[in-house]
Amino acid sequence: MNNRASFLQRMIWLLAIEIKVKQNLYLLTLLVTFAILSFSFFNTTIVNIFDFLLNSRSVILNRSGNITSLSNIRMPMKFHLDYFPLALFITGSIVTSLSFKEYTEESSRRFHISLPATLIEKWLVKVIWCLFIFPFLFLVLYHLFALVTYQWGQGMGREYVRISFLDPYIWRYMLYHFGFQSLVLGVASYFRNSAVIKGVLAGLGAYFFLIATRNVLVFAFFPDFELEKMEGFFSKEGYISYLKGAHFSAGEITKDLTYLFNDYTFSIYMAIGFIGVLYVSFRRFEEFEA
Amino acid sequence: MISVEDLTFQYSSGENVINNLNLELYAGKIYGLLGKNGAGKTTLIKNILGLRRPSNGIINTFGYNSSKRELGLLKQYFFIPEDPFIPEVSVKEYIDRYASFYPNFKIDTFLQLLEEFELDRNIHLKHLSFGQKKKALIAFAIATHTPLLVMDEPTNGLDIPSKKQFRKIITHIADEGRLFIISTHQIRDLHSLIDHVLLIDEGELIVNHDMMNIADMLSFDVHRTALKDEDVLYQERVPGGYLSITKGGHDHSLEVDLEVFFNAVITKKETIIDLLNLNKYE
Repeated sequence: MNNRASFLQRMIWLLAIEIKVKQNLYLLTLLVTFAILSFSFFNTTIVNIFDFLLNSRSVILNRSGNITSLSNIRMPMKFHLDYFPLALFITGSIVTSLSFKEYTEESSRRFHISLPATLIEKWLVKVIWCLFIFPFLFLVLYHLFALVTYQWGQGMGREYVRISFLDPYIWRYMLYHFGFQSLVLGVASYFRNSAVIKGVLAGLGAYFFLIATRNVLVFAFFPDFELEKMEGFFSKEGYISYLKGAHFSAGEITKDLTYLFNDYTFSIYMAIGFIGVLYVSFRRFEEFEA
Repeated sequence: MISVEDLTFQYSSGENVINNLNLELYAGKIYGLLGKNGAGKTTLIKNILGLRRPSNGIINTFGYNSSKRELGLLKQYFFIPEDPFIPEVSVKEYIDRYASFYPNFKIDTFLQLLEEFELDRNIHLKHLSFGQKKKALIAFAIATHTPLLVMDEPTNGLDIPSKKQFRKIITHIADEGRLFIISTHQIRDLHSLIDHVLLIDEGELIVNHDMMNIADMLSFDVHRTALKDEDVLYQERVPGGYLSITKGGHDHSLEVDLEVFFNAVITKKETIIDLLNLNKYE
């Protein structure tokens, strides 16, 4: 049949198996994700809470500190931008944590280990699917979702910030996703049972580790920061808005600089996470027995 | 050719399953791997195929170190385990997914074998019984034309006509110079196929003999009453009398009864093995 199948041919066959074997789970994950997104989109309270948590600039307070209005009622809402990293992270983590599902049960593991393809091909196809193909597929689907919901939103008299393939914000999160999912892949190769829960937990752990590392870096560069004000991501004031309040006005920190902190942190994470964890994941995969 | 040198396999619990086993297997033969439950048969197979890695020793399968699981090795064999993995897809989908990986897979052979096993080529695997799924897998395995075909309890789940069909097919393809390893407890189903016996007991290979060799050294005869002869190595009650094993083959001897031979080796290990080994090296 194929006397001299090339590396590329085998990778394509393996990728086809990877998708076909788990297609129902992938479809279910995407369906649930977009159903939740749609529900959130049409639920004004959820949209406002989310916008309030992430974009505190849109909150107008009176002198006594009470909210008098949410400025996003008038301003274009950032629903699609705000939800993108969260949806990508949750959906991606579920998909990545399913990577080694066929190696959970013994008979299936035995079959897949003995399938004629090299160890690196079998492992690499999972990396390519989880870290490259799926996120891009998700991005396309998310854009379609955004296109449709813009129209619906306008019909309801709401205005939204448009999402674009060229938006650096999107690509920044695509890049972060690449790092997070390498960790989830590593976890999935170690914990094949309940891999979804463990994968998502590991991803969340990595996310908070990233935030913590970034904060440490900020303190290193700006030691005069007051610790009690570093309330974290979900605080009412929010981390970014604090930076703006304390140092933006003095011209010490620009928006680009805050992104730079994220990027420095992410670079450190990538060096440890991407290279280190992926290597560990491959070694673990190599050890699979049946 | 497969060569197993000083194979020792130990579970992480410290339990030794195989002890210092040496073995050479050659193409063109059907090896029957026998042994009690837990004797180490499946573990030996898994080590040969690289599914498990030895605690000690080296296994070379068709020129490849098994524990490295190189692509070259994986192309050399197809393994049908006792509880095979059969996805819930149509026969066509199964072929589309997996056949490409086997360089010598022949669709014509596969379809012909499906026909011989009376299986519909358009059927969905989830609608088949366990025995039918196994037949479909056996057909696929044979159609891969791998030089090594390993089967663990291949006749489990097969009905009587299918067992006969299975023997016929294996006998037919055995001439192609492939190497077969068949691990089984269903000796009566397969004894006519096997031309070399490997018997493992407590992790040690205690019998490694050709059937012809065994037939030359031992006689299998049925008598109405139990023999009291000193030459009787072993005997057991069978319908119509006693089946006895005596030293030295003779023209009137029955063909080797593998089940009785197995019982004889297990119960009178030293006597039988000493006799077989003595004649082997003479």
